[in-house]
Amino acid sequence: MNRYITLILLLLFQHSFAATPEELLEEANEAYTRSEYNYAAELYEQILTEGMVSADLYYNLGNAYFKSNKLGPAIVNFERALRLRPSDEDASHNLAVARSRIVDSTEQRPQLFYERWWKAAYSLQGSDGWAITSIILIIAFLAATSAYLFSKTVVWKKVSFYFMLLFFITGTLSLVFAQKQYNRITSEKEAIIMQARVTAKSSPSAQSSDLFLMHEGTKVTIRNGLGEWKEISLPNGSVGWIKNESMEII
Amino acid sequence: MWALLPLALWAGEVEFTASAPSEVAAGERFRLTYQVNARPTDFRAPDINGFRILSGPSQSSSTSMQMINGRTTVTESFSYTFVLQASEEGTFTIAPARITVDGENYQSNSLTVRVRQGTAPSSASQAQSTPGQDSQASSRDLFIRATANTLTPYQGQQVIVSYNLYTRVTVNQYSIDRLPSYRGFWTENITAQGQPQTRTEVIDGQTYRVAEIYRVAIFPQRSGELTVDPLQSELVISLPSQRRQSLIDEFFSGSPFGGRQVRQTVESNAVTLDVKALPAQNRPATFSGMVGTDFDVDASINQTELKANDAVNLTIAITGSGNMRMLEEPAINFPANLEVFDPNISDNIRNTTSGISGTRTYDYVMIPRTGGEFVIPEAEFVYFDPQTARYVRKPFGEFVLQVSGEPGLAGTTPGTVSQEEIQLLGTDIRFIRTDNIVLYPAGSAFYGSTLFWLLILMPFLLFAFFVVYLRNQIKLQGNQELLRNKKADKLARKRLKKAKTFLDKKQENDFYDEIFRALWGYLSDKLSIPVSILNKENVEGAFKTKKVPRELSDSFIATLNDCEYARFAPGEKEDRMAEIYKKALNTIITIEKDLRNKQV
Repeated sequence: MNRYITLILLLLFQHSFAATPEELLEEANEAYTRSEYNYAAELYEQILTEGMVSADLYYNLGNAYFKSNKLGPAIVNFERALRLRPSDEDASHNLAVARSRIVDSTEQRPQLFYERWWKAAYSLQGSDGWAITSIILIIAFLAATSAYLFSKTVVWKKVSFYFMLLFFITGTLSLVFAQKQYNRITSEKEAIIMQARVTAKSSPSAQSSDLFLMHEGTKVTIRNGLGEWKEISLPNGSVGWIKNESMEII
Repeated sequence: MWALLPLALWAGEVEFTASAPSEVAAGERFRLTYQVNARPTDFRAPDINGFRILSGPSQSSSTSMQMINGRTTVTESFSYTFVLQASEEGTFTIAPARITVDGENYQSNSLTVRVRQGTAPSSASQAQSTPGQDSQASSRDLFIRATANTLTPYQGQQVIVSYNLYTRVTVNQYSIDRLPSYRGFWTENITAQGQPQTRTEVIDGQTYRVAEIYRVAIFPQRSGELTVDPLQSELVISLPSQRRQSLIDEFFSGSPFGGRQVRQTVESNAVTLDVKALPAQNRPATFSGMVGTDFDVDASINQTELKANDAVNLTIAITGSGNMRMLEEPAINFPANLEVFDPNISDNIRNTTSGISGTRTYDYVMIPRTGGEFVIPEAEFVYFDPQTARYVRKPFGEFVLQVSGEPGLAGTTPGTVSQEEIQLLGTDIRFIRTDNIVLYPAGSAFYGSTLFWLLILMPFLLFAFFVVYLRNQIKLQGNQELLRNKKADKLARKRLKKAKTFLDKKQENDFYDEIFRALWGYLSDKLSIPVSILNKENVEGAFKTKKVPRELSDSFIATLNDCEYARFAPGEKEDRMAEIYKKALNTIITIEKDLRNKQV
């Protein structure tokens, strides 16, 4: 059985054993340690262009950008790290530090307690984390079910029944959370403003009237797109159109 | 070359001036120039007594266009030049000339020229009549002297260095070949426009004509000894011929006045400045390095009562004399929730022969994003005055803005930072991760992959398989017991029949063995208890769970007991064997009957 797990892991991660990205990563980390932040950022980006990702990679890249005073790219990469691993405490901390340096501080719409709990719950893990959890819980559920079916004494039947219920509920929730996180990554588009000052327009044209001003590092949600323009909304509810080049999608 | 006046003239006002050297030597040639800054209709020269007119009046005109602050001023100037020669010693007065501009008459100033005895330019060339040297004027006759207005300036203080050409020969042309590198200085060229003005100066009894050819304002950038390198100029001079030349020679030499034209390179002296550092004592923290004189600050705001999101202009004009182009923006502590754009900087800085001076204006556009009172606190501009050797503070402000609108209303771009974020301001980000980073190809999400669905479905399949298998196993086991249960009676009867044959043959041991086997076997099959663990004690319990009546279980056990006793008891063996046989048969039949009834 162990041999098969290793085989599956090997199939999953076989690309990571290619020598170049690993070497690049090591070199980038060394550059960062030597305070050559621009060079480090360049190397991390190179790993990304080779198609390799990791929450830690995005985290390191965010750090490199932050240290070279590029707040917009830093925030984008911290957000990406958190998408892959929502429980990453270091990434949340660094994101908070980076956010405190930006100009805009759009306030979050206050959420009801159950919304907050729901969000806190599904943010515990990324979609893959929840997927693995749900598989484990389903196995546990089936084990409890068999115990219930084949136990001969009443006490055992009772205990296994409660476990069966528990694993069923938690397993289903894990699946729902996995789907939720998956949707967040694939369909819920958020972006970070990358230019020092961006004016949101009332319609997708440069001649239309100005609505509000945003600064580098501000997080917006993309609602719609038309050509080189995107309709974006701010957490405080403001909606306007800005050009694609003034932001970077997370 | 004799001078024209610099064109420091203003349009609209007619100025008509005459100029000539105030002192000349007898026999010397000089220029008398009349200059007017407008187009004259006629020019009437005065009678010139005591001088010989060699040429003139020759007329020249120039037009200059000046753009100051976007306004264009066109200046026309006309000059009338005479070349005169002094013939006798004495003091002569040249009467004013007359001119008509736009129908109005103007008069120039009158001039007084003193003619001294003796040293005409020709004698200068005679002084260096040694052959071989006659192609160059000696350094006594021609030199450039660099002078600074102070030799011990403070760091950043404006120092004016002027380069004067001293000559006793006629200079037809000059050009500046090489400017000093001014290492360690910030420099601004302040040479007067137009032809250099000349004067005469007597050094060691020799009369020199002096013209300032270059003037520069320099600002030492560090303290210590700083040297201004020499300036180099190339001149075309006329040397009077020593020998009487033939008329043809003279013609080909090309000299207008009979001399030979010679090119000569002249270098000025170097100037060494001992630059003093600015005193550290009493230096205000707001001092930004400006050294100069007569600074003043004028700050104004265009409105103090406005609505939120309206723009307001703050204008700060700093006027003074010093290195104005290096002036730093004054530090103003604007309120945090007032959006302030970078100032628009406009300069009105003049390079005059007395140095750099002027005004730099900072225009700030500010937008209050919320209502309430905004206070722009008092700020100050600090400069160092080298004349008094003191730091001078020029405070300006404070301005109070009354903004109508909701106070504290979060605008589209609030400048305020929430309390929670303030706590974070001092902290730095955490260090990168270097260990155990697993890279994997992008887009390889585990959730939704085939492997994921396989791992979700597999447990269910395994579970179903397991359940089915277990069920069958249980069923099979149950069937076997049933079978044995059903066959128990038959088996017991078969064994009893065998016991009967042993009874008939009077084989006592075999008979009892067979009876035991029949009884225990029956019991084992009926109660699903293996023979090996059966004994009299658990038989009773087993009967109880099967709800067999007490009498039956008692009689069964009694029969077992009888069998054991009968084996070893004395007496008639055959009767006892028959009796035991009958008893065992009866017991099995009654129990079988009882269990049959219960099953139905």
